[in-house]
Amino acid sequence: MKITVCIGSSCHLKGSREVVEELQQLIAENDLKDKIDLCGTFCMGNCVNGVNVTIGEEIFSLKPETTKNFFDTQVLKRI
Amino acid sequence: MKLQKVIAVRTSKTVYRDGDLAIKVFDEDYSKADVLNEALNQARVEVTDLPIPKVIEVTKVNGKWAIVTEFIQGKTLWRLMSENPEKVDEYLERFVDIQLEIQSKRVPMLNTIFEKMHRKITQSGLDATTRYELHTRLESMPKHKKVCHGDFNPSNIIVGEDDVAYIIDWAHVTQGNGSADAARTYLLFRLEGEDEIAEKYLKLFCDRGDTAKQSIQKWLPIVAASQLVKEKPEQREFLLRWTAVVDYE
Repeated sequence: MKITVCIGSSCHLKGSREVVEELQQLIAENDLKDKIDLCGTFCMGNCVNGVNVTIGEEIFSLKPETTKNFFDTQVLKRI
Repeated sequence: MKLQKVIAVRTSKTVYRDGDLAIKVFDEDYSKADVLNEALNQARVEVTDLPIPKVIEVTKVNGKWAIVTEFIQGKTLWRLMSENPEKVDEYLERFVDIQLEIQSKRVPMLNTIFEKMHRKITQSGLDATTRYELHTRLESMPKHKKVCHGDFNPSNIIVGEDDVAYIIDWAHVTQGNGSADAARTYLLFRLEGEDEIAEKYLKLFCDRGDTAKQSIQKWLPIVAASQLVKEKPEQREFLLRWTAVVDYE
């Protein structure tokens, strides 16, 4: 499964670094490094909300504090 | 060292920018040998006159290994291709020329692609008959000494503000047969679903490098087997098809 986090300037200001680090930690803790490809991308053109994250074609809008919930409800159910 | 601005992300590593430095931080459980080997590889290739960001130091940041290099301001060739689709052919030509320039270099201290591929075939998880065929095929391949980047794709070229194309990510560099490196690049395009670009790339590499297409295609089962070691479930079926080289009598 490929998860892509926007690391453009706007998402940087909204906390993309924290989102990236939290996702990396959750992937490691859940022993999912072989199953999840985490990568970054530049602006997805959807800068209105939070940090843009995609799973496949589906876009999510995250904050650092909602990342754990995103992982539990959206990532784990797709594994 | 400030780890504020993320400039690249992978599952087990993150690249941050701090002023004119790029800091690649590896996960806590990343092999120390792999980190040091990556820095050593890059340092070895630095002795060529290829445009490569220089290694500044290898250090630990918050308990994690990190490689600090020069930061290159610019855009990856992949990003440029996405932003300017009408220029894809032009960018691909440049891409191939860079790869051929790399392959014109010699760095005798590098590991050989030959040994690396034998090791990967052994670790591939393929059945013994297929492994035997792949090892035999590998033995029959011409053994050159060209520098092979090992992960040559447009994301690893940064076109700087000075229009110089800097080559990054030397973790997988070896010396050996350039056709193997071209086969790997072709495979990477195909794995990304970029079939049209893959075919254009292959033709360009053959034309500009005066290389027979067959000599690259012969490497495809071998590079596909080496990619199986990464154990990516979504790639497995595709790669197994490519490694199916056994002729049953």
